[in-house]
Amino acid sequence: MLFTQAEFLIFFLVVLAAVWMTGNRLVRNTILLGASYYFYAYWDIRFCLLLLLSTVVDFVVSRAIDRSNDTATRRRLLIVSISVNLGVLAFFKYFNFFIASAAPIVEAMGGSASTLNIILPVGISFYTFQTLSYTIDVYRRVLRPTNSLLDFALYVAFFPQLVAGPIVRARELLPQLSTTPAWSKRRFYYGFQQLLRGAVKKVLMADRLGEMVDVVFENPDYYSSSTLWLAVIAYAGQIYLDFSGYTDMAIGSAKMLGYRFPKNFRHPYLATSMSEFWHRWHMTLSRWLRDYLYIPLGGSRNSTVATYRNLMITMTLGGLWHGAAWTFVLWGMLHGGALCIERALRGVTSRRLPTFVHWAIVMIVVLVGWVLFRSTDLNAAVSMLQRMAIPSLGIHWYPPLVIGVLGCLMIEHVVWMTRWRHAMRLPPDAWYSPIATTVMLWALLIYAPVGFQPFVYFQF
Amino acid sequence: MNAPNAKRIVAKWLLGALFGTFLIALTSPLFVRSYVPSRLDPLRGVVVLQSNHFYRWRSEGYATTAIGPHGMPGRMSLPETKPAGEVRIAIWGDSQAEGVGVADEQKLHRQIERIGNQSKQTIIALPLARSGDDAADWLAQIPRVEEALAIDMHVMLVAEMVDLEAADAAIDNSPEVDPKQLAGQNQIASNVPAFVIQAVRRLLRTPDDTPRTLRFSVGPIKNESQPAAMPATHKTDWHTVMQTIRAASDRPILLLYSPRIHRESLTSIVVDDDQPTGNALAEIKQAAQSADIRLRDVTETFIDSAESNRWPHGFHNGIIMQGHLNETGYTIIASEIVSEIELFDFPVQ
Repeated sequence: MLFTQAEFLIFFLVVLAAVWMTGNRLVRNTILLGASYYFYAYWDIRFCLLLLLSTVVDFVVSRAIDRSNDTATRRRLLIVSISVNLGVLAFFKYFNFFIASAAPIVEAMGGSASTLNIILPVGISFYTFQTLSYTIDVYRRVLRPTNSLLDFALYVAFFPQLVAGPIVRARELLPQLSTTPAWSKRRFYYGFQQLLRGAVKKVLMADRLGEMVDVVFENPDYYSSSTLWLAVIAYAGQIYLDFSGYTDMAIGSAKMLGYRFPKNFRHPYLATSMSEFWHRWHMTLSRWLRDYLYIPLGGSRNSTVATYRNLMITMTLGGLWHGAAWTFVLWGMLHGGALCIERALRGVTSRRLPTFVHWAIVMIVVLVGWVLFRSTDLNAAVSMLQRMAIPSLGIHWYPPLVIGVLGCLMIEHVVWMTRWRHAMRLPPDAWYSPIATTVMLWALLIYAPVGFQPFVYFQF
Repeated sequence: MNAPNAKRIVAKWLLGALFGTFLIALTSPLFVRSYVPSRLDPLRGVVVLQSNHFYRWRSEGYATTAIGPHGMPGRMSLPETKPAGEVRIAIWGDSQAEGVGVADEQKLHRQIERIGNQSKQTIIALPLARSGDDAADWLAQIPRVEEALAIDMHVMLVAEMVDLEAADAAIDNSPEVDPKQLAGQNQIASNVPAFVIQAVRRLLRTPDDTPRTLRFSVGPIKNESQPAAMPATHKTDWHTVMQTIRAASDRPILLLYSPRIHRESLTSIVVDDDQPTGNALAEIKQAAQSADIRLRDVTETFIDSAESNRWPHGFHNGIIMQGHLNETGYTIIASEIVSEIELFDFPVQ
C-alpha cells in the first residue's frame, strides 16, 4: 500500500480513529501491530513471514544476550542474529547479483551459474537494519531488551516507517511504545501538515520530474548535453523530493498517531562539504553506518590510511545497501573517495576557496553520483557522463513543468535559509496556513500526474 | 478553548479555504484542461464542441483552441458563398489532425491555407477531424457535408492504418449520444469550474477513464488470466477498404499517411512497429491507386526532419518524439497536401 493511494487514506483514517478511541496501551499497540502487518501483507502476505522471523529471532536472541554474562556466549548469540538477518537480506537482495557477477568466472572454469526468480520483499533493507541495531545495542549494553514481544514486534513492523524508513532506533521508539501517548491537538495538526507536505513533494513534484527522468535515462544517447544536464538535475530533485516526501509522510503519520520519529533530511543540497551532505541526506542511514560499521571498523581513531580505508568500506557497503548492482557500488565508492579527498585537503581548501565553490564542487560530485545511481548499467552511466562532459548534439527537450518544479525547489531552499523557514511549517495561528493548506489539497486532487508511481526508495 | 476563540479559528479557516480555492480557480486555467459543452451538429450528424467556445488542452502544448461552426477547431468563420477559384478541402482524421495542442495559427488547416497562398492557391481547409474518429466516422459524414460545405476534395490524415480498416465496418447513421446525457454533461461543463470537474474525475475515474475501484485484499495480486486462445491474425482486404472509401464521394480523395516515428538507435529513425512499411504499405498504395485514391506517405520527410532534430511529434510539456503532431509535423503535412492539390485539376486564380 502506497502512502499516496486512496486505500491508504481510508486505512489510515480507520487506524487513527481506532487508536485514539482507546486509552489502553495494550489494545492500542495490538491495533497498530495488526494494522502494520495488514499494511505489509497488502503487497504480499508471504513477506510477513520474513518480518515475523526477523522479529522473533532478534527478540529471543537479544534477551538471551542480556541474560548472559559470558562474553563468548554473548558474541555467539550476536553472530546468530547478524547471520540470520544478513543471511535473509543477502539471499533476497544479493543472491542474483553475486551469481550474475560470478557467472563469467564460473563459466570460464567450465561450470554453470544460473540466477533464481526471487522477489525482493519491500523494505527488507530498512527493517533488517532496525532489528540489527536493536540486538547490537543490547549486546553493547547500551539498551535493555524489552520484555514485551508485542512492543518489539510493533517496533519492527510499525507501518509508517516499515518500508522506507526513517531507520528508527529501538531506544527512540520502544520507550514511546511502552506508554500511551497523550492526545495533543498541536502535534496532530503538525503531523497532518507534514503528511500533506510529503504528499505534495512526492505526487506533485517528484513524480513530475520523474516523467522526464525516466524517458531520458532510458536512452541518454539520443539527447543533447543540455537536456542531459537538465535530466540529471531533475533526477537530483526527484530522488530528494521522493524520499524526503516519503519521510515527511512517515513522520507526519506517526506524529498523528502520537509518536516521534527522528529527522531524515535537512536540505542536503545546501551542503558545502561531502561530510555535511551526509549529515543532511538520509540522516538515519548515515548515523547507522557510522555507529554500526564505521566506528566498529576503527573510525578515525587510527592512522590516516586506516581512516580512509574505513571510509571507503563504509561508503561502498552503504552503496551496496541501496541496491544489488555495480552502479550502486560505484556510487558508494565515489562518495567514499570524495570524503577521503575532502579529509585530505581539509586544511588547504577551506581557507582559500569561497563557500560557493565548495558548494559547486559538492553538487558536481553529487550529480555525477546520481548518474551512476539512476543508470540502468555502467555502460549507460559512462555514456551519459561522456555526453554531459563534451557538448553533444541530440534532441533538445526542456519540459516547462520540470523547470518550474526545480525553480520551486530552489526557492524553497532559499526560503529555508532565511528567518521565514518556520513559516513553511504552516503554524496553526498564521493567517496564511488555511490558504496554503487549501491550495495544497486542491493541487493534489487536480494536478497529480496520471498514474501514481511507487516511491524510489521502495526498491531498496 | 473558549467559544469566541473557537469561532474565530473556524472563521479564519473558512475564509482561508475560500481564498485558497479562489487562488486555484484563478491559476488553474494555466494547467487544467477545459470542459466545453457540446451539441449534436445537424449537418454532420455527430457531436461536436459548441461554437464560440474556447477549448484548452494542457497535457501537450499550451494552445487554446477557438471552436468555430460545425465544431471546427481553430476556424472561427466559414464564408457562406464560395468564390470562383477557391479550393475547399475537408480534413478528416483523429486527434492527430485535430491538433488541440497546437496554436490555432499553426494548426494544419491554417498552414495549408498559408502555404497555398504562397503558391497562389486560394485554399480553404475545413478541419473536420475529431479525436477518436476513424474511417467509419469520416465516411458517414462525407455525404452530409460535401454539398452543403461545397467541398472539392477530401484529405484523410491517417496516423494509424487501423483507422482506415474501419471503413469496412457497417456505417451507423444514428446519433452517437443520448440527448438527455448530453444535456446533463453540458450543464456540468457550463456551470461547474473546470478544476472542480477535473478533481472529481481524478477521484472517481482511473487514467483510462474507467470507474475507480479500491482494493483492500492482501497481496500478491493475481495476474490477469491470459485469453485462452489468441484470435487468428486478421488480414485486411485493402481493395475493399479503398473501394468503400472511394464510394463515399466522387471528388478527389487524398490519404495522407503520417505514421509516428521513433529513434531505434543512434543512427536509425524508424516507423513505429505497429504500422505497415515495405511490401505491406506497397499493397495498400496499390489498392488505393486502383480505387483512384491518392496515397501520400510523409514518412521519409518526417525522418529527414527528425534527423535534423526537428521532430514532427511531441511537445516540450509532453514528450518530444512521442504523442501528437506538433507545429513541425503540420508544416510537413501541409506542404505535402498543397503540392498534391496542385496536381489536381482545380481552377487556379
